[in-house]
Amino acid sequence: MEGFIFKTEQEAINALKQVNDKVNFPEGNVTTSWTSYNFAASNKPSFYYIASDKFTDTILKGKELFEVVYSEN
Amino acid sequence: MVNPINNDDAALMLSKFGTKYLAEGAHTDVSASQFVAQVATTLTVLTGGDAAISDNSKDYLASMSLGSVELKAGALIVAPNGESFKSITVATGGALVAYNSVVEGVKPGSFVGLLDTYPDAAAAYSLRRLRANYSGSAIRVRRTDNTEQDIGFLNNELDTTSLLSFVGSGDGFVATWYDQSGNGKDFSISAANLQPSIVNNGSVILDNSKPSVAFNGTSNYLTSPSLNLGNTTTYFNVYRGLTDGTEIPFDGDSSTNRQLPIFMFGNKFNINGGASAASGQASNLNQNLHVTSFDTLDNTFTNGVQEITNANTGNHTVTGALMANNFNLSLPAHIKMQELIIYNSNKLTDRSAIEKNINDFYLIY
Repeated sequence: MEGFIFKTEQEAINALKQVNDKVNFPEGNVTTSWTSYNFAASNKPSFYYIASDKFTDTILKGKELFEVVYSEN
Repeated sequence: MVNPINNDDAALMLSKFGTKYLAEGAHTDVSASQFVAQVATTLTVLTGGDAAISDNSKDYLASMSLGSVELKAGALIVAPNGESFKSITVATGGALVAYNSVVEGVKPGSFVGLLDTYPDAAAAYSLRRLRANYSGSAIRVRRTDNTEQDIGFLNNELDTTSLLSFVGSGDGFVATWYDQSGNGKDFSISAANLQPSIVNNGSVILDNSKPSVAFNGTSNYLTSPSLNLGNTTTYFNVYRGLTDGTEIPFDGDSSTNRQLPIFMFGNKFNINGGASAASGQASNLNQNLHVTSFDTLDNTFTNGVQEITNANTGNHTVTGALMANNFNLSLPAHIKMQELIIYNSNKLTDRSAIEKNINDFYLIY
């Protein structure tokens, strides 16, 4: 998949805030964020990531192509 | 027709008929014997022959005269042995549960939803109204400027006039798909680009001429954090796979708490009840009505035809759940969904009747 990789959760949170700061969500909305970050727990080494989309691509830098390993257990 | 009932045989009748829910607006001829008001309820009651309402005055707020009767929540209305009510009409806002009684007939023109006839769903999501007393909305929609609005029903179907008035010529996304069961188990997602679509370029997304929620197969899904399903469940699900890949309309949200009612994988329809999985017939890209019953013996039916039978003795309870993704969010489904009704019980006895209700509306097969 294409997206943005972060070594720590805090880095992912900061990147997500950077994206959300560009979006206005009215008070009382269910929608409070443009996107979300995920944890690639089964990858070695593990990492956090935000998937690429046309909006995040305009804000975040360093898009990469990577594979997320999923465990059934 | 009203089936006669002997009050001195009440235990047998309870066993035979179970309980029936008499919803707001219902009008019915009933045989005796006992009703309980779920909420404060006003009734218009006519008794047949010499019958009168039981002198159980502590349960009444007002007059027991024939005509208008006001019950407080939890109140009983009881006919004496050998006597019967001729008719009962439940006023707006009321709700009765009938015990040991045969309840038949509906006031002409009044709406009766699937959940009025087959109540006690654990959760129910649809773009049509499923319950006469349901006063909430169908979905909460976000438009492209990120403003949101609840969209309800018009003539008991999704109010597409209000929907398009709100969304305009742009796109509309489902932030919440409300649970109509009354249990508050809504599915929602707070991240904008994960939300499924309901309007595309100013047009409601349809399937077989009815509104549908479209999941894009790359990122869209919804989540309900505390669905709390047991080992015995029944799912009634109307959806269409848009690609013949791995398309999972429903899953638990952890690796140890999973139920996957009919999903598409390996070009077949499959089920997975925790530790026990099975495959059925070849999958297809049709709009289908799938029924999955998880029990010690799992059963599936597609468009009324039995497909999979599979023993399942393992634990497969569900706590939180995902719509259109699997437990670890690795397989977003590419589907259109229109209805998902979940019972925390085995509903195979009522399966055919519930299927008929659904198919009469969606005209699937």
